[in-house]
Amino acid sequence: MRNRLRVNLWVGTVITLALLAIAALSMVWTPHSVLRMNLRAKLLPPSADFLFGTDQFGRDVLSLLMVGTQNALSIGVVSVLLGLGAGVALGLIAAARGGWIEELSMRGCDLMFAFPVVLLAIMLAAAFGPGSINSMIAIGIHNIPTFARLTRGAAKSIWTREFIMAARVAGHGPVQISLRHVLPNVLNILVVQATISFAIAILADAALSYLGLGTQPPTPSWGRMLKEAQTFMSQNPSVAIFPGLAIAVAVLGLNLLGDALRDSLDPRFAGRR
Amino acid sequence: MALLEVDQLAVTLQSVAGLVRPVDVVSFDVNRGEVVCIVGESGCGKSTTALALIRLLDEQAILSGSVRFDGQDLLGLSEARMCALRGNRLSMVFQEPMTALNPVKTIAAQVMGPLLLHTAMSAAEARVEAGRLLARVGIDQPARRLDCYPHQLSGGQRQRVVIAMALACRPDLIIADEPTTALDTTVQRQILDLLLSLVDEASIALLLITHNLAVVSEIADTVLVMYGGRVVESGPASAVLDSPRHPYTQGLMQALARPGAPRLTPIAGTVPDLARMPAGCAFADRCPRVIDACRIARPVAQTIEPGRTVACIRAMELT
Repeated sequence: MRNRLRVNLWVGTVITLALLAIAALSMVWTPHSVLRMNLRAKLLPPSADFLFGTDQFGRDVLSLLMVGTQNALSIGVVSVLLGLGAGVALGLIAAARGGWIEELSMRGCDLMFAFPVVLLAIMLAAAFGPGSINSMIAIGIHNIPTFARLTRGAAKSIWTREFIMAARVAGHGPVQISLRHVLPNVLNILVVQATISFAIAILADAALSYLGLGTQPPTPSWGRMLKEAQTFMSQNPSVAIFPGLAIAVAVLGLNLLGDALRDSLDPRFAGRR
Repeated sequence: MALLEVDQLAVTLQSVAGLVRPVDVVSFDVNRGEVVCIVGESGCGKSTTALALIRLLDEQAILSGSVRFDGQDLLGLSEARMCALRGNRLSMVFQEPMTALNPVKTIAAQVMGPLLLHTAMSAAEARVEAGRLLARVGIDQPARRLDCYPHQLSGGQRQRVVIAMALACRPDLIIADEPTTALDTTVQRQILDLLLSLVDEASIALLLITHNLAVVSEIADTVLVMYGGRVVESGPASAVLDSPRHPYTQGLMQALARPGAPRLTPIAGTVPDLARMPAGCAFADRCPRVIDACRIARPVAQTIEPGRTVACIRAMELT
């Protein structure tokens, strides 16, 4: 138990910090320019000069991935924070107030669940033009009902616990109870959902980019690289392998970190360390 | 004037089976420095009475009658005014110390909660006070326990922490709902002694809710026996326990293991369904001394001695 937790925490932290470091590094230095095309060097396999090979325009895949880290992290962070902030607030209010407020907010969530993220992105793109910002907002809004539902369900079960009654007897009002007693008890599942949503956000941006709604070329995006690689996979597998690996490693790192965070947020586990 | 005056309190709830009255006209007083026990079996309305007093029942519950606490009518107060009283001048101790504490917060944070809410103390002062409270309720090494989480304490220690929280703001009245039921017998004894010493030292009024007559005989000054949402017998604890007059109280006493008691006699049958309360005495179906007149109307409480009431039409002829 203790060792697994330690390993999770370390691997997760290292991967997450590495992602941040790569994103920062790519702002000042990349092995090759990500904007200059070189058709004579297109679809090369990995070599000393191009560690991860080149894509169909002769751009260095490693450099593209490095710059793409910025995009992946910002999409993940912004869309998760948007969904988390609005969803948790909505869920806590629904659980605390009950009655028609709960009914209204949860039916609102049903409506949002039924609304495809692509349609939302198309609407935003139609109104404000396509781009990664609008894609973040669309994915973030799409995350709201997930977090709202999760928070409400968990919070409702916490509200029935006796220590909530004890807090009420101590004179705490519903706002204080929600923030001081309910939220700390549901934080662990929210952390896990946040890491899952983070991974999904990167993939959702890829899907939106594919439709021309998400991150626009030439800004590198992991998801779009993966989508475009489908056509060239037989000629040069590295154009598909490396973006895929990048997404997988980033998601793994965040999941491990989220897992370890959840365990350390729960004093019943933390006490055993 | 008594500290707490409950007059004709009734609670009506809407259930699937229609309107039910888990508490049907209950009246009693609690004075400072006095221990009043409400006794009865599960479902007799004793916990509902307690929750009604501090207005923590479901919002749909309809309360009637009056509850005067230190002169002000609690049933008429706004929720904000009630919040200012709860945990401050009246507080409550729960049955399950395992679940009455928030598992993800330290003991210090939980004991400091009411202090930070109701007093002008800074966090540092509240922490010192929390340590003092833990020492007062008999937790050894209080300074070390402050940073523990609830799961690191034993059941008895947790109940002491819950009592420390209830004591934090020096309340006038503590309502304890089966505070010893979840604890083993030796710890039970210690917790009762602790509650009694607090009542004596700080002249706190204690309203203790229990189904355990042994507990009543040890600490109660006044006892109320509840059945089917009504008080069937009340009076000084010694008088009620030594010479019970209501057949239900008599039954309870016979079902209690005591030295010298020949054998235990259970009370036959079960508590009547709240949704289908009989027109007559609620205890009639289980009563060994039932007569036809019992089933006509619910008996009213009659005073048989000063301070002692019995709600049984045969109270005068039975001893």
